[in-house]
Amino acid sequence: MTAPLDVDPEMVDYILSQGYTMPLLGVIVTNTGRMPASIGSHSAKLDSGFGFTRLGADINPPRDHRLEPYSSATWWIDLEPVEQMVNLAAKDPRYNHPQHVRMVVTPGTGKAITTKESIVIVPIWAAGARDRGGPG
Amino acid sequence: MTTTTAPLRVVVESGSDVGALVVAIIAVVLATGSLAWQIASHVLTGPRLKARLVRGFKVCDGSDDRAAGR
Repeated sequence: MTAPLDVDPEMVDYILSQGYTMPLLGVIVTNTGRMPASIGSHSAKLDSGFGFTRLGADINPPRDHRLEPYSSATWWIDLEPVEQMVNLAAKDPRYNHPQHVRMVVTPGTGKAITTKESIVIVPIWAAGARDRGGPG
Repeated sequence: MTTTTAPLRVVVESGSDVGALVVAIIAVVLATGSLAWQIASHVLTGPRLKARLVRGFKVCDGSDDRAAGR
C-alpha cells in the first residue's frame, strides 16, 4: 500500500499494527517522451552523500527495465535500512542532524534523476528525535 | 573615359559585398535552424523521465527472502 509523504507518525504506527510491517520508500518513474528508456539502478540518497540500494527485491521491476513511452513503473526500497544508514552517518558529528532522503534512478543514459520531493529522517540520538520520515 | 569606368567598378564591388552578406545570412539561418531542429527533435522524440517520491508499506510475507534464496 502507498501513503502520502506527510503521513502522521501515529498513522504510521497504526498501519504497522495492521500487519503492514515493512515501511518502504518508492520512486514512481514516468516516461512522457516518445522513446523508451531503460532504468539501470535505483537508490536512496542522503544530503550527506550516503546512499543505499537493494537490488532484486521481488516487488521491483527487473534490472535494466525497459520503460516504454507513456508508461510508468515503481521501484521500492525498505525504509528500515535507510533509517539505519541515517543513524550510521550520524556517528560523524557533521551528519548528526535530520537528513533529507531522496530517491535516485539512473537510466541507460547514465544521467541520474533525483526526486524533487524528500522525506526527513532524524537520527535516533539527535535531540528530540521521533521520526518515521516526514516530508522534506 | 575615366568618369565612365569608375562607377562600374563601384557597382561590381558593391554587388559582391551584398552577395557575401546574403550568403552569410543564409548560412547563419541554416545553422540556427539545424540546431533548433536537433533540439526540438530530441525533446519531441527522446525519452523524458520524471521521478516522484512515494511512501509505502508492505506485508512481510517472506517473498523477498524466497526470491533471494534464503
